[in-house]
Amino acid sequence: MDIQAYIASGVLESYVLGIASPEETAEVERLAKQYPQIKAEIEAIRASLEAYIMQHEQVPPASLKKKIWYKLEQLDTDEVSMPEEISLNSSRETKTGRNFTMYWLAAAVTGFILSIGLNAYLYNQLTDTKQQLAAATTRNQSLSASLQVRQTDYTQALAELEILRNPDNRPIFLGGQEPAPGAAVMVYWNKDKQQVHLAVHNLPAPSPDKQYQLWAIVDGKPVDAGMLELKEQGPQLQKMKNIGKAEAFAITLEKKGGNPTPEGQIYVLGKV
Amino acid sequence: MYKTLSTITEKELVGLLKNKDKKGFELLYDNYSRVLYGIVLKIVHSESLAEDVLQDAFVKIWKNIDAYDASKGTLFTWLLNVCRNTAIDRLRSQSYKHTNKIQSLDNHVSMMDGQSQTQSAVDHIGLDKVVDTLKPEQKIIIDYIYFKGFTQAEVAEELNIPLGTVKTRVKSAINHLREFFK
Repeated sequence: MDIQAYIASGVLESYVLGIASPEETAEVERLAKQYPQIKAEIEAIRASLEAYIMQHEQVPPASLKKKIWYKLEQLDTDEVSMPEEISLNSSRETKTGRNFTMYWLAAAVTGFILSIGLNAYLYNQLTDTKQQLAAATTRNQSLSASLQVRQTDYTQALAELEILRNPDNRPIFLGGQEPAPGAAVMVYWNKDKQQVHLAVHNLPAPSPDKQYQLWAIVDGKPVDAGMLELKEQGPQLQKMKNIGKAEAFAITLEKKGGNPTPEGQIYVLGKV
Repeated sequence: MYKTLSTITEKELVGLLKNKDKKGFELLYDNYSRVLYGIVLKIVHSESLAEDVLQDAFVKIWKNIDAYDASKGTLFTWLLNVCRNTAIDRLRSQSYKHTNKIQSLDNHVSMMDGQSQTQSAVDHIGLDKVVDTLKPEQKIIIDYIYFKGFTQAEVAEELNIPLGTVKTRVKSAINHLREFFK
């Protein structure tokens, strides 16, 4: 190419002054790398322009230096730098693209920080919710267990009530004898079905190696009617052995597991 | 080329600036503030605004010194461009505000015509000490482009001359400068 003609065209002056078009600028920069003569020409143009500019030198106000340094010191402590493209020729375009990227970056960083915060908040919420759920589950389980107990109790109570209501179940009061005059036991006997139920109202607590035994007196002789299972919570009906015939019922205190014939003292006794 | 600092100390200066060293600022300010203030003042025509702009420009220099690439040109060229761009940007944003104000004033019919004269009064504050290195028609073209940030087309329109003439005048003005500063 004709370097002299290119130099003479005035495009280099336009380039240095920053008024060349983007295409011209790109071309100048490419050719400057390729041709030292063009590069030297650019330098000479720039030097003369800068020499001209320097003629406009003015002494700034004396206070300005301190003011600027104060500002720069503040920057270092509290600002994150946002680099901005400043090109070496005087051209004033291209800044927006870079700024735009920086805005996006800033937005992304801000978004990220917000998201960390939000995540922490949501994580806390989740943990709280999990704890609440666990507590609720536990409470639910305990309620349902207690409901089951109540239902069993209710079913049992209904069954007991049924027995008490039934006129075929004849109530027999067994009153306290010498070892425990205050003792009281009820026996409900269904002669037809031979069923015997028993409710303890008052009996002294036996020692651990002893157990109360119910006897049906048949023709003057005691017949085993079962062992008493004493429960802590109040009077409950206990089903005993089937008895078809009896003149009286009695309870004696025997060794644990009972005896074929009574050996201990009679605690309660009631005639049919 | 600015001769106050040799290229070696210019490199050192850049190093100090990159380290955010106060000595770097001192050297920068002591060596360049007069010429940088001069061009900023020449662009904005107001001493208080020029102070403000120079402060902004120093902030940019301080923050963006890492973006300076010595292989692409001298530090001085870079500094000039930062200051020039900052000043022109400021002027444009101000004149934009000013234009808006004028427009809103126009809506008030009762406003006196004399009000609009305030704008031209500030034009003469930046007093040129410059020796007559350029012929008036050359000077005006360089000043429009360099100090007002006009494009070739804007200059052509402003001076009412063909676009081609702008290029020739730019070329002859620069040639003139090269002769003068040889």
